Amino acid sequence: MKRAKLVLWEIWLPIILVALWLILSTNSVSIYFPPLAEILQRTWDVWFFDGIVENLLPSLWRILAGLFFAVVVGVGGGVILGMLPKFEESIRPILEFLRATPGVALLPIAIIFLGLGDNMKIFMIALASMWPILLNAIDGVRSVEPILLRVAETYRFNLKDRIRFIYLPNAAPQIFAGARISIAIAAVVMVVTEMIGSANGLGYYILDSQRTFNILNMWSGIIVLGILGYLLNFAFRGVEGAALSWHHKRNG
Amino acid sequence: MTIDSRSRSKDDAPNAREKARVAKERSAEKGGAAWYYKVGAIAAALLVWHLVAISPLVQPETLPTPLRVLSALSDLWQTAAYWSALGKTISVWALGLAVCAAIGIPLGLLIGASLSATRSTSWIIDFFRTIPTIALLPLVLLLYGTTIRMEITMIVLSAVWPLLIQAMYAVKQIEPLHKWVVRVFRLSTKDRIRFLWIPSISLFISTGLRLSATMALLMTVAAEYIGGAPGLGAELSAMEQAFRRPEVFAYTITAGVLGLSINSLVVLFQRKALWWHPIIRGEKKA
Repeated sequence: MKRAKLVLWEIWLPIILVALWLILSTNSVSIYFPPLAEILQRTWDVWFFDGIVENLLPSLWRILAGLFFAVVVGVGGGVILGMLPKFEESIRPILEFLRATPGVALLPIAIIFLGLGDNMKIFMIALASMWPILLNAIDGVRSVEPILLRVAETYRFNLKDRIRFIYLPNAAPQIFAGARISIAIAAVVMVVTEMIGSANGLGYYILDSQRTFNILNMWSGIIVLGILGYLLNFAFRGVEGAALSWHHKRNG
Repeated sequence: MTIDSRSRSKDDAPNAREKARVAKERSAEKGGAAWYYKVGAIAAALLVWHLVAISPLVQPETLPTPLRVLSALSDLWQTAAYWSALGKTISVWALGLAVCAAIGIPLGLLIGASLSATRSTSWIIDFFRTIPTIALLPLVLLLYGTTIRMEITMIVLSAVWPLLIQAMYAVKQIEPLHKWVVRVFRLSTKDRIRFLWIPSISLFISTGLRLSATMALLMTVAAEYIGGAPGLGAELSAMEQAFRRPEVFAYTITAGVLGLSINSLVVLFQRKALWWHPIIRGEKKA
């Protein structure tokens, strides 16, 4: 009962807004804002299920592959750099510079070396979304209680066990906080790279529809992309909840 | 509940201070790497870049050497196009961020102050925060063309959320005890703003500002690069299409330095304006 009430609180405004959009746009003659009913109809026609295979799956593959490399390099590099404070502080200015460079500005350079294919797109997604994970992993490893390290020394933990039982659990909450930012960045970079020299993908579809003045298709692409972004975040929360359940239990 | 949180924070305080002290000592004994290490690391990175560039690993002319990029950069410094592009990017970014702050902070404070408003909008805010608003670029391009208005719209659509959300959190975390004290002493509205509101929310707002500033710069460059509005992104795209590789690198480095300067400016501002805050002083963990 209480839960139902809370859900009701959360959804009344979105429902009213969508209903307003639906009603106000019924007789819309503006080319840019066609009636919502038509957009939804077109979304259904185009995306289920040809569009999903043609444009959604390639996008999904790119963003997941990019995020995979971002996590591997970010966590791996973060743990290594976290354990080598002196080295990390020496190369910190370089890391800060690379991180501060807006991802889009690195795009031309990536195109020079990797061309316009999937390699470049996945590389760019991984590169841009790696920084929050990497920097948070470094901080997480650095903030391990000194006592824990002494305990590990006393028990003669080897390096593998120290990473497995001390560094990683300590850094995990922060790594997940960084990963949430990474997902948002990855989605932006995915769309941008697909808008440039691509033959499929959501970004390509939206921009191509706009260039051919197929406004209904453009809107349908925007809606599908919105759903994809939301679902990605939703899935991430599930993973985070499962992976950090011990942490939440301990901290109430 | 208040008493409980107070006693907890009392217990926590020495603990946290202890932790900060340990961290400081540790970094002192292991040595915050000296400046010459940092310079050495940068020099080594440039040397590796140079060696790769002149090695047969890469085809000549694909990767310009650092020296070649530097000379391209100094040539660009002589041109008006470079400075006007840089100026345009900075001014559009600043204007966009100002609009984000003007919309996001008041709206976030208002929503955060009311529980029912927070609940009613939580789903909407969550949705717009997670979807890549860059997808709206084609639509906004159709509406406004390659104008400043297009860029500002894109910046606001994507960079307003961190500020809004941080402002919401800021209101929620004001100590109830402080509110009671203010009420007991019957402070005037002016004093309430001066002594309760501004000190309580400033840290959260400044964090939101940092996140929004980064996002706004990314959006500015993206709108220029894809949308073709004048600025660094447009120059980058033009140089790329003209196969002028050293200039491409020079503009990318310019964008990087701009991003780095913006970031350090916000952090510096945080230190200067919020030096009194326990978290900034490192007495308390965030």
